[in-house]
Amino acid sequence: MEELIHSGIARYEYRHFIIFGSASQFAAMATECAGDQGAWWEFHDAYLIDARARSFTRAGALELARDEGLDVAQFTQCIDNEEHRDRILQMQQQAIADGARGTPTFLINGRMAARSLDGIIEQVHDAAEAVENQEGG
Amino acid sequence: MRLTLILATLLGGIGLLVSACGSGGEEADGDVSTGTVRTERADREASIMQQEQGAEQPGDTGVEGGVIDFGHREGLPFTRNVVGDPEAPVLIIEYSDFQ
Repeated sequence: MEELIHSGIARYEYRHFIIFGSASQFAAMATECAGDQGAWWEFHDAYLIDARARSFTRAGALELARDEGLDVAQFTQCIDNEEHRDRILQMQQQAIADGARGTPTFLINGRMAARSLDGIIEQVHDAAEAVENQEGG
Repeated sequence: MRLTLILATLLGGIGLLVSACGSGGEEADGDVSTGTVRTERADREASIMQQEQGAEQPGDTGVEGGVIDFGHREGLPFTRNVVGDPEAPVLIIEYSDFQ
């Protein structure tokens, strides 16, 4: 899938769809707060593989923020005030509206994608072709 | 009759001034020009509208972005939770949970 993005055929957007409760909610919140300081993807990746992040604790998130060179005071204020709560809630509502019933759920140009990677790749190429045809004709 | 008209005009003018200062509230502080107040208000309303519209499209709300300089996405432009060429014809959205 990365190849599709690197080649310029597709862009990729990650949206939070919280199904595992408050720890997931916290992780989403921390990622959004890191995003305020340009470190959204660092936190995204950390929450997938880094043990400190995967403790899903405030201390772990703060340690990560320090390591990433973020303004920790700003980051702390952001998570403590739940500054992105509404944004995450909105993603949640949009996920349901888009038909997501579990994770991960992929949409390709607004259409529910196949469950397999091969299926997704094929759909992306089809969607790109459809756009090309639309623009051409 | 003429005096009455002058008085009425003066009173009307004072009324307009009071109204402009009163309804402007804090926006009128430092500048009583209603034109400026209206511009400031319009700017603020436009800004709020932009924020609200942005909120409907989670991926477009962020202003933080740049180019990713690590990992397998290195070299890709990003804006918050969206990565890749903004002009790419296909948008892949993933709904997911970190756990």
